[in-house]
Amino acid sequence: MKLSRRDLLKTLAGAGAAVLSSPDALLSVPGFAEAAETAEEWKKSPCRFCGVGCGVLVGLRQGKVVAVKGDPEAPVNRGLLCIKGYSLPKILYGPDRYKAPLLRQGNKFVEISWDQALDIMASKFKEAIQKHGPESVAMYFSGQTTVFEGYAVNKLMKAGIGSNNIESNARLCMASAVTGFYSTFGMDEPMGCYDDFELTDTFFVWGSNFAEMHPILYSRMVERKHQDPNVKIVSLQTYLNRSTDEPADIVAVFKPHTDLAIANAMAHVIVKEGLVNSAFIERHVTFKKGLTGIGYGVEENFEYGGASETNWKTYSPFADKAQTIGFEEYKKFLDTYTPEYAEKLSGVPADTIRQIARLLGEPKRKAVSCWTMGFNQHVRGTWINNLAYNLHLLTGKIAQPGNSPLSLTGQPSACGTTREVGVLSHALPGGMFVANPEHRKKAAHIWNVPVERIAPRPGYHTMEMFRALDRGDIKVIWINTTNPFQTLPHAGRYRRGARKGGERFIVVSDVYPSETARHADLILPSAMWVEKEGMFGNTERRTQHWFKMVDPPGQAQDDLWQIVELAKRLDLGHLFDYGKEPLQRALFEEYRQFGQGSGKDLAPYNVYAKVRGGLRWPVVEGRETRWRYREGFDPYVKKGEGVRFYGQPDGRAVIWARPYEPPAEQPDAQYPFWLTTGRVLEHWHTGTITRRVPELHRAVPFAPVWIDPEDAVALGIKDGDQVRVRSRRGEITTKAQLGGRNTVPKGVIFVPFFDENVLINLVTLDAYDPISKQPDYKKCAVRIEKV
Amino acid sequence: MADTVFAGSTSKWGSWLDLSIASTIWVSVLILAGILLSLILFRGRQTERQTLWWHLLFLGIFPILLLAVDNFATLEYTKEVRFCGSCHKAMQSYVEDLHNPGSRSLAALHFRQRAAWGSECYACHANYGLHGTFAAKLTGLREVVTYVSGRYQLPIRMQHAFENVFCLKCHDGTTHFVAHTVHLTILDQLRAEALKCTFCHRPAHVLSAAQSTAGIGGAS
Repeated sequence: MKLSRRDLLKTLAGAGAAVLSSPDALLSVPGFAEAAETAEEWKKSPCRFCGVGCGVLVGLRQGKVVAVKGDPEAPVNRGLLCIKGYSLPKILYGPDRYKAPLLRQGNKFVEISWDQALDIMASKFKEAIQKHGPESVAMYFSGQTTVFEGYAVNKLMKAGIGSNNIESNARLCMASAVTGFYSTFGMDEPMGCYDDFELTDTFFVWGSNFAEMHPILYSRMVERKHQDPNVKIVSLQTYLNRSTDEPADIVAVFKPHTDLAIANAMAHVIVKEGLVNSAFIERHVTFKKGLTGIGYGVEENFEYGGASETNWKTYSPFADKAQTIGFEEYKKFLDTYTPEYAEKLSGVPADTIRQIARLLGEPKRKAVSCWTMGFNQHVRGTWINNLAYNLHLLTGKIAQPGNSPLSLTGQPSACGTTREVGVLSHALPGGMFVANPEHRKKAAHIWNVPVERIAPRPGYHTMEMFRALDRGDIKVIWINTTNPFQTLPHAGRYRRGARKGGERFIVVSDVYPSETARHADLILPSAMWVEKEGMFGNTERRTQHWFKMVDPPGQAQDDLWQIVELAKRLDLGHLFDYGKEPLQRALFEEYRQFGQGSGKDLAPYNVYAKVRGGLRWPVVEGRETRWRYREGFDPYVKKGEGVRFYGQPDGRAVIWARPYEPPAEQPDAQYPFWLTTGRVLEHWHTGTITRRVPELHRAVPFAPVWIDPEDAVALGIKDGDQVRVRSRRGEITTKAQLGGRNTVPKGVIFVPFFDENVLINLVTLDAYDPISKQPDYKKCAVRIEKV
Repeated sequence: MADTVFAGSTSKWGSWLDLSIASTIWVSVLILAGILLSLILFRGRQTERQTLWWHLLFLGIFPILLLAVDNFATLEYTKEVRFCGSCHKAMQSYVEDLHNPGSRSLAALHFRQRAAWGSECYACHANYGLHGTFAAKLTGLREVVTYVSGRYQLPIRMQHAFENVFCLKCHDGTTHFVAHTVHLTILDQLRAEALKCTFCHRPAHVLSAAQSTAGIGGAS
């Protein structure tokens, strides 16, 4: 913010005068309506939006949510909220909420009753299963699905229908983080927590605009910097954004995909300059290398050489045909990655790389690294996650107050539901895998079904699921709380595939019309947030609970109710028959058994129902865990062990030798620009909720394309001009933006994906990381032209 | 609070405003006394040279002083909550909100914390600088005329949207404002009034249900 106060006041005064003449502004005149917004009572809930997991107090009056405020007792946000959080009351009351089930008739939708809807849905499922087997049906849920819903639908699919074709949209946002955790530590989710933000003195932000995407957490980092000028912030990004603003000390803008080289070059410097923590490495680390040249997953039915996934021993998980190497061989591997080599690839000066590496390596400093989609949506996403852990393992700055690599999550329950409950085609609850016979046995025992019921072969992962729908291998799919026909990369293909007809039947549960609902055969109106009971789990392993507070509009129903009703009609109602016990509590107490004693211990339902701000697992003997793998903090580490990465059989974390490999597509003469996509603070994902809040919509009414001013001059584009962005797969048209909150470097453009009128995913490439199966939204080649 | 010194702030002898009101009265009394004395002491000799200083003092210097302190007093008094609240009924429930110690409304919070030393209505509802002051006074005069002539319709509505500049003139750049980094991200939108401060920070005023239905307003 290089705006002087006086400038600001001047512009504000001018803008104030201008806004009076616009009729739009007059609508927002707050009147006496505020009188009615005084809440009668306040109840606790986590925020419905991002993975930070802020606690809010929900103000209720006469059966409506009329206000929210940040919960001052919530340890995550301590009373603060961001602008999306403050919009929570309004997201429930958009004028076009779905209020009744809708069935497609030609190009129109007609209202039907719930009984009709569920009967039709069940008959389609039954028919497909009978004719084509259980692998012809699929469920596609969400990182915004509650723990109860995720657990129920997982049980319905894996213990009932006997198909592993169940995925969550978290595949598109967290899969590489998961495989990164598994391959390095043998166990999912961060060892540290947000408390590290107040305890560390050096922050490394990698390819994550978390000022906008995790605003409350970012403000905790900035607050730390303000309190102690010795604190340093390093921001590594592919373009300048709010997270490179003051107070970042070192800003490095690198060419897309070259983070692989930079991270290795940092390791190179740390090793060469003797910043390695040898004692830590000797006791707690092994060195490995895996397969290289693993491909990009753009072909149908792509299988990389890493694993025959039906064989547990080789699959063991994401093993990548690992070979143990020594420290010497690892050093030799690093020889190539000199800072000068990294400079050539990334454009970041070698000295800057050295400077960053020394900051991380300096023994007196503590270090927290944060990253999100820049790492995860990456055709080598698993690798770059591994490489970040390498830096913390080499220096021993891990699993200790103030020292933590912290993989941030995007969605409110990508951790709590998708990862912990295992709503993924290869997973079972509690961090187990369908391919492991022991895990199947344990799951079948808890679920009280014959072990043969659980299929050993992982189902389709998300990209392959929608390819199978396009091919016709999947006949019936239930899409719930997510909007894939706006968010899948190369969406044009999957949108067309969905409407190819034949036996395909698409059920969509949602709250507002979306691009996906438009492609549905049957639309089910859902309850959202505090219209139902729920539980979410955030980035730092924190599980939070809320009760139902208000009724959903019209006939809209809880997704959990929808799952159970479908189960009943598929003759699988017994899976959810818990007698008189409340369903949510019964489901949670059953789910809890999966993690008990395996390092994923959760507290009893009643505890979460009561505690404000939630608890971080493992919760053993009523105490939460802030730092895992460290004696004195983690109850799973015995006295005298110091540190133990107990996810790995030998208790040692892995430093992986992962090379730089080029991306799937690079700019060339025909398509000379990098396209990278992402979000803005004001809008949540595809904007279906936030664009219905007038204030947020007005704040960012459409998705522009950010272009470098020099590039714009060369192409004759002025700020605000209509511009076409075209790739080998599709095109969109939108307005050019040459400045503002983002500044892209030459040769890069940035387009947010929230706008259904600017479907940037028609343009993106559906290449993915072969290990995690997570697509790369951050780089493909495009050309731009003035319309 | 850099731009405006509110008369409600205190000096050694009490608030500047109280001081100016007292001075207005005392200077008036002084002038009247001077004129009376002149009538008695210099009867028939008022045009003579020897009395010039006396008259210069009581008909020249003191009246100028009176004009100054009176202007100050009037200008400043009309910024005070007690003045705004003394006007037509519509304001009554707002003032009650200010005095309600349990109220969490922005207005009440500002009032309780003496954010503008008793001029909280004015501080949040008038633009900054001289032209803001005059615009506010003119509007006030117009409203007096409207009120007296009875040419108004119920319910009374706000003239225009509350502008962010009224908040930012004090809060922008403060430690708290900057520490909540979301403010910096949305500064462009705040500037363009595309996002209102009051979207997150609300309610501005809390009126009890009885007040709002019995009062002059109504749902807008």
